[in-house]
Amino acid sequence: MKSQLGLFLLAAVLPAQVSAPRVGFARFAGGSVHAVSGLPANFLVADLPVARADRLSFSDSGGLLARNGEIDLVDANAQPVASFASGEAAPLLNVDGALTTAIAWLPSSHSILHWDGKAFALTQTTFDGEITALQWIEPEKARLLVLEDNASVSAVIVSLKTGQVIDSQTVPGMKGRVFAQHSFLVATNSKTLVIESANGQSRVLPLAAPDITTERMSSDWLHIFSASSGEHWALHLTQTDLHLSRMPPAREAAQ
Amino acid sequence: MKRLLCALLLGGGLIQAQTSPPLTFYIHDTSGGTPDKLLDPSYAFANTSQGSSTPLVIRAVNSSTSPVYWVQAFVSNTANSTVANANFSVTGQVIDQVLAPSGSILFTVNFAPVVAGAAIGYLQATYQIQQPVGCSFTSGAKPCQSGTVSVSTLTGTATNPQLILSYRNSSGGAITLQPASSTPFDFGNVSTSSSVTITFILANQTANAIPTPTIKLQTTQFFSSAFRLDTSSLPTSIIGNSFATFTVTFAPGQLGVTDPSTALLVGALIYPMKGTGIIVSDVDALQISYTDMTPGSPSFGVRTNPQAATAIQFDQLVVGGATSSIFNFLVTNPTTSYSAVAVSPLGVSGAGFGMSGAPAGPISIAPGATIGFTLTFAAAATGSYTGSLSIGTRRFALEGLTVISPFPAVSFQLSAQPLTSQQQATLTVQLASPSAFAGTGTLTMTFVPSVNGVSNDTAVAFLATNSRQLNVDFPVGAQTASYKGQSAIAFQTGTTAGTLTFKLDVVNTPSYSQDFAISPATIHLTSATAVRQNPNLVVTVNGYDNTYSAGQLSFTFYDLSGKLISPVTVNAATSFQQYFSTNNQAGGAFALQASFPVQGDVTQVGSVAISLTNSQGQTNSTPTFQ
Repeated sequence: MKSQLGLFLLAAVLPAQVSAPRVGFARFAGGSVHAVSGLPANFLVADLPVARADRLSFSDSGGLLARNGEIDLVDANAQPVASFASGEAAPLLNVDGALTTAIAWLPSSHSILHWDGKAFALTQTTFDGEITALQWIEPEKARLLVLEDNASVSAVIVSLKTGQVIDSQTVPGMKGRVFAQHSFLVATNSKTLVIESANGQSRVLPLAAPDITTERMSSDWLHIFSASSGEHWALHLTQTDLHLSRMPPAREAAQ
Repeated sequence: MKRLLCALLLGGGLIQAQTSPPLTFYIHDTSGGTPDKLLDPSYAFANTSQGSSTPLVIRAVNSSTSPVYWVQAFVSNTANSTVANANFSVTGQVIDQVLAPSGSILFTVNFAPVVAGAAIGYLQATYQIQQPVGCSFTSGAKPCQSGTVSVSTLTGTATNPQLILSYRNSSGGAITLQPASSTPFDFGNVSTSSSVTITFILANQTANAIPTPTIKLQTTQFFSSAFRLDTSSLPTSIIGNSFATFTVTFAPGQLGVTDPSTALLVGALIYPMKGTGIIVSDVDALQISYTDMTPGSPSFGVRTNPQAATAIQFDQLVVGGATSSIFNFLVTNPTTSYSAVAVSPLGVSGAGFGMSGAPAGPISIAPGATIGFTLTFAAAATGSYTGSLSIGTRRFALEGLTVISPFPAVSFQLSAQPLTSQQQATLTVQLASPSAFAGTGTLTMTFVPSVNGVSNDTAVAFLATNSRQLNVDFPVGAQTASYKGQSAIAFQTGTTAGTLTFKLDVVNTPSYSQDFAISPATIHLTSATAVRQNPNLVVTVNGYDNTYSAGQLSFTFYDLSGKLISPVTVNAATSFQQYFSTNNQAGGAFALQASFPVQGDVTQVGSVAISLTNSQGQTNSTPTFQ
């Protein structure tokens, strides 16, 4: 059989690499950003913060940190790669893959900032609406999830080259503030977490807290938290796994 | 004032007051009959007689959009001073607390004049505000802005006193005492084996009966007092143009002048007092101290120099709790003594009290030498107990108390049992009956791993705080404890086999604890992925080994049709042991990645059967290649 396939497997050249399972980076009270490791239902939040931020988004490859109008692109170890002075107080950030997926919506200037692999590029748009999430989906295209006045959700494709809207479609069945994770959409309200797959199947998880915020910790982990109640959750959401756990706060923030 | 100075230091120094102070002050009607009214920049109290008090309840509101750390309010002598004004006092304020935006705090300003005539004071409040964002109210490293707000200028007129305090001197003449005098009333020099008692006279200067004011001693907190007050002969009111008496006894147990903060408080009036302990006979020179060695006592390790005027108070015992309170005594003859001191008798009297460890008699303590002994209070039956300690002619009263806990019996309930690793569960603290009163308790979790050489797993923690200790509340009528309103208290179990112990401590109640075992288990995999990265096959496994004994790994590869290609065995014991034993912060949780070079077409490999073995057995998983 081996000869039929022409395959020859060698024993691992290097010994098995064993390390702490990495979850990602999360932002806690006061804006302190901490590395998180562990497994579902077993989280370890590093005592020392790696940075401070008003907003963040991380994938396994790196992340974006926003603080005081600056948007920093960092690598997987939270080390700086590039910086952009946006002047934006409340940017919406997302990195869900390679650093070239790093993208930000700057609401006060109606513009989209993205990392093209060498530099930040700023695209002015004519779009105006309440955007709850955005993604870089392919070269020169971004997808924005928009909360409409009637609480419905629209998916808007915008050209990163021209800033023009290429397509806009209502997302059936979804309401409220929606976050995109892989091919799933995640909606939160004060009582539940609704996760809808691309084929329209949805799952509802109880999650009662006011003022829910969702930020990406890594490619597969989302950090969901309520600033007023001080509660934190971690959602592991991939094509094969969905697991919602409570997550302890950083010890500094918990005091 | 010490607290104020401390807060100001932590705050990095007093800065200029905010252009718009974050605090707004209102006059508050505690009966609720009238709404709060804005406190004007000046406020006049009603005329108040010397020795009486007129209160003004004030609500301070955080009118900013940032949290404010309320340091304290105070009334000063001048507008820019922090020196307290003796004619005014501030009571009822909870200092050092955080006020959320719109949050408020109540406190009372009392006009309690100590001298007749017009009085003026300056009400001020010190605070910190959480600016800039990320600053700390308590850390000097990142201090928040602090400031002082001038609240209101207070005025009032003091009328003549209704009550006058006096005593009779040795010749029988009545000597009137002036409150707040810079010269304390002096009990004189008194041997540490002796005492002196003064009878004070409280005379009503009016024609009408006056309620007897509260009379108490002001002593240094946590220290034994050399003074003892006896008000047992005081009536509840003093009829017009008459008087009542009470006594103060000075019985020093230590040499030297008493603490300068000692005073007699008669209503709102303060009469400073002092006395001096001296040596008359050799035994007076002995320096006596004791240390509380009662396990679990809040005063454990605290050393006290007892005074003969104040009974030595043993830790309260609770039926079913600690069986004894233990004090270790030291008696030293100072090196300045000329001769050895014979101590006879050395003993203790009174039911419930016992002495051990004393040297055999006859006891003589040479200059510079020390003897030690232990006193215990152990009384199983409820009640108050009194006794006496004799060290030669030196006498100290002893007091003990055994009570039945007023708190209902406690039990713990877990949302899931048995506990396993990598689990989030909740603990409910259940009371056997509804609590008759509000209380707080300290809930502690400890974790003792059963893995040799492993002392902790930092993932074991309460989820609300990421710590192992919480203060829980027992509201009146509640049958469960709560933390921030939640009775189901969430925690995570970590990834190490061992024993988790929950313990609840409530004052005057026996501690309650319960152990929960987390058993050793086979390796648990939370994810296993296999990826083709030509020319390699990369297998990644996440999971935990709560025994820290992972060793043999085997990987058996299959082609796309499910036919065996090749088994590969890897001894990963060394890698795992290095990981678990070198600066391990993740407990038994691990991420393992193995890479297999391939000669040939990697797309023909369909799946891999992974087998991991630890001391408890084997775990298998078969991910397909992506």
